[in-house]
Amino acid sequence: MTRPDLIYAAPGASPVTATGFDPDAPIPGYYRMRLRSGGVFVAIRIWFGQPRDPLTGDLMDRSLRWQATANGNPIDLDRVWPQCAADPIDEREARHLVSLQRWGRETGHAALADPTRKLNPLSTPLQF
Amino acid sequence: MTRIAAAVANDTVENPRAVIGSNRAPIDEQVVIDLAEALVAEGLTKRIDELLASFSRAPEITSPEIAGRYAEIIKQMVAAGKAVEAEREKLNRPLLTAQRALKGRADAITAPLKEAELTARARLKKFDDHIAELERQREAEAQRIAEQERQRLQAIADQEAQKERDRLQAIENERAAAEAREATVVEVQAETVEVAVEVTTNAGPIAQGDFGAKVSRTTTWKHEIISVRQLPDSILKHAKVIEAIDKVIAAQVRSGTREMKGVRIFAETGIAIR
Repeated sequence: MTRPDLIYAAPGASPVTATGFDPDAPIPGYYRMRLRSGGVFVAIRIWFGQPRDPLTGDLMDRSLRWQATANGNPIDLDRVWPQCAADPIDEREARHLVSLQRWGRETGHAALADPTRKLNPLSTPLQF
Repeated sequence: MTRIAAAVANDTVENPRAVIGSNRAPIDEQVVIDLAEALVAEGLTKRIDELLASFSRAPEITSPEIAGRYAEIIKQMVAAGKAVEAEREKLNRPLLTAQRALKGRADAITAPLKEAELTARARLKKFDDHIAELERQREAEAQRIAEQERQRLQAIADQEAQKERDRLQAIENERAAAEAREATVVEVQAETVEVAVEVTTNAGPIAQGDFGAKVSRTTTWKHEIISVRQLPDSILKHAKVIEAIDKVIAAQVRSGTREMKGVRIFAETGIAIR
């Protein structure tokens, strides 16, 4: 009679190495995601630090905590993490997405200005 | 009152189009006008012009960013095309519905007529089958009579041959006796008699109506494939056969088959815009 080498009840690390990330432990950085299906991409920034005053933007003397912004606007961390973890981006791309929203606001493209609206390919800006 | 009615009647008689709605454009022209107006109203004409102008300014793809812009413009073009198609469908739907209603009404009227026609055809076929059976019996009878005649004539020919053989044998016997030798046996073959069967076949119409309608027998050749493997190459390699085989194989390849005798299955990459 043969028995498997692996003893499931034995203490120690699992032989299977897990890949990916822990959904309960956010990773600081920049990410890209949509706030709704068919909406424009927004840049998500996640970091651990002091919170800012939502009105003045000043750092407040509060305990450190996990925070997130979508295109620079504060957003609930649970709203974006871990969904955004699938698509990490660099800071340059994040700045581009923020400027895209600003441009949409200035030129009157509602779906670009408001990421919670669905994009209509018949009215999205021309590319060239 | 009477005078007005008479005037209307006269107008219509002189010009059959002088009725209510006669000043409308023909339907084939009207739908085209309606489509053009709808596209302008929805801003699609302008959008398509803008897309074409934008694409004419597009540079060669040298970076992933430009490739991304290309993907966006393709998506915009597809969306514009679909929007035009939707407008066309909106105008086409009532026409299709009208077409179907018209056909349904006409079919409802002609259905009993077709049923009666099929019954009439079936009865004619039955009559033709009866005629064909009579012809077959007549042909069999003619063949039997011809065979009887052939046997009678053959018997006469055999008798004449026997008489001739006896006559020649007697002469041979006399000669052999005079020459003191053994007489040879004379052979005379009877003539083989053949009698042609005279069958009168009716090549003309089976029946004819008083106004010219004719019933004639037609012959069409049908087929049934007994063994595909024995078919000639001219059939197996025909373009239409290859096309049908292609469809069957494509379905199997789509469903996961990756190896097949006589077929090379390979992967081809393309692009998809979402």
